[in-house]
Amino acid sequence: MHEFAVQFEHVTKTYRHFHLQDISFTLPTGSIMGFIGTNGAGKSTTIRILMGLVHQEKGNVRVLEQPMPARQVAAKADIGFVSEDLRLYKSTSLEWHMNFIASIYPSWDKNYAKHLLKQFDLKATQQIKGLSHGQRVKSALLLVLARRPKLLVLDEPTTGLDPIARSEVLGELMQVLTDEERTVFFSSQNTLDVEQISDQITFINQGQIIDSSDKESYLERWRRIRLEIPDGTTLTPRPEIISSQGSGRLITLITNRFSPALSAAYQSTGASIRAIDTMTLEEIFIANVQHQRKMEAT
Amino acid sequence: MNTAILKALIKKDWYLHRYLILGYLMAGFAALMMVSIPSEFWFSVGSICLITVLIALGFHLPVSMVIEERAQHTLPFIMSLPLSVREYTTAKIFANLLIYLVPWLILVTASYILILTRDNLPDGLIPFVTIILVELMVSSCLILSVALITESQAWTVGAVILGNIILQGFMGFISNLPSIKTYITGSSIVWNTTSILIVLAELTVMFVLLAITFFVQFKKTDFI
Repeated sequence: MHEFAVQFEHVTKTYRHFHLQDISFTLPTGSIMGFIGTNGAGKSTTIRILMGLVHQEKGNVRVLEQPMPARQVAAKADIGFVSEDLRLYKSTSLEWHMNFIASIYPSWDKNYAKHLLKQFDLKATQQIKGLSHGQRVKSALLLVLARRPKLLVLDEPTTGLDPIARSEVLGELMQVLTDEERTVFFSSQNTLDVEQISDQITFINQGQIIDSSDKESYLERWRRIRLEIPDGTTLTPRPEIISSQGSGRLITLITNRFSPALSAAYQSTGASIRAIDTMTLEEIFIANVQHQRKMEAT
Repeated sequence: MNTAILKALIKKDWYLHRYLILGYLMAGFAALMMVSIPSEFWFSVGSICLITVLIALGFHLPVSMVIEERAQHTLPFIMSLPLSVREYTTAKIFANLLIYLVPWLILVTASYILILTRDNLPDGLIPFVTIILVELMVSSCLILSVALITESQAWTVGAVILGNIILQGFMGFISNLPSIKTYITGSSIVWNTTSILIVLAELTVMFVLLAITFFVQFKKTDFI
């Protein structure tokens, strides 16, 4: 078993209006990485580089120990890819697709495919053109899961799904992840989905990785601190604080490096702490992006 | 080169285009029936229809197999399979040529049979008809090359227009070449140096077009 399923080292790709800059991250085998970014942040470009479909200008990419894009065929034999904009052939049925995939992958598990058909409430004989968006995503996922890939690459698979379909897709993904060797790279704008299933989180914004860490570490490090400060007191800027809002006596601070020492330091200046709140992944993402934009503006 | 996946992709394109092939074959046979009617009018109408069928097929296949695959977003599904751009291009070229060749060969054979068995059609037509039908195949290769390289419907339509202009000029030029014209209405089939060289030149152009397509495709750094 390889230590890392995916390794990006200083990867760069330039387009006319977009620049993917110095992307570096690793995805340990058996873990699930949530790759979060806004529209146009560089998620899909990163995934295309990961799949060998777009060649990086600089930097090294290794997927399942294979250098990309040179050994993309060997890597893709063990990668299952589903993206929001991936479509199946409309004039055929899901059964035709299942036979097509089974003819290519010897690892195709017929029984698991049958199980997934039931689980996703899909009919194999139904024409693809008659499927809803949710059914299409579930069909694509079935075609990928039933061949038991080592790495699942999911590019916004839950976008546009209704709550039931989303829950089914996420539920099946969680089920799949009981296999410790299975690795998942999951890109999404929806932080709630990512929070549910990921153990590693990477934020990307404007072509740059702005933070990458395990989920628990994010949730431990990030806090919203509400302070009340005595009249006439000004807070000294601290490197741990990335955002400060409010005026007068009530101030709300956001920190990405929380520790009890930080609250003690504020208390020693005469400030009283009203509350220390944990933050959701969405709040962390927004604060992170706003902080990066502010840094770029200055 | 992974031949198993090439076979699977070619088989897939055959399956997806089975009704299209059947439709063009039926249209081609209808054109041949018109040609077989002993009248100059029906011969002209049938010939035009036959050429139109082969031109349309040469355009329809690349658009459906290459451009539509991209437009309908089925390309990410195919490219997620264990294959490279090299294998994708090879599969597309083989599938396209094979699918084109089946109706083409059937229609060429039927044309030969018709010319050789009907008294109103001179046997001397065979070299001329062969040259024109091979030119139609070259034209379809040009359209396929442009479709694969540019991945653009607009450029592919441009290639169709260019192919048709070349065809019109080519037909006029060939039919007025003394070493061809002299034998068209003759009762015997004459394969002289001119007609053989023209067919060889056509096959060379086809080969060069496909070689350029492979070369450009292999150089691409962004495929989706």
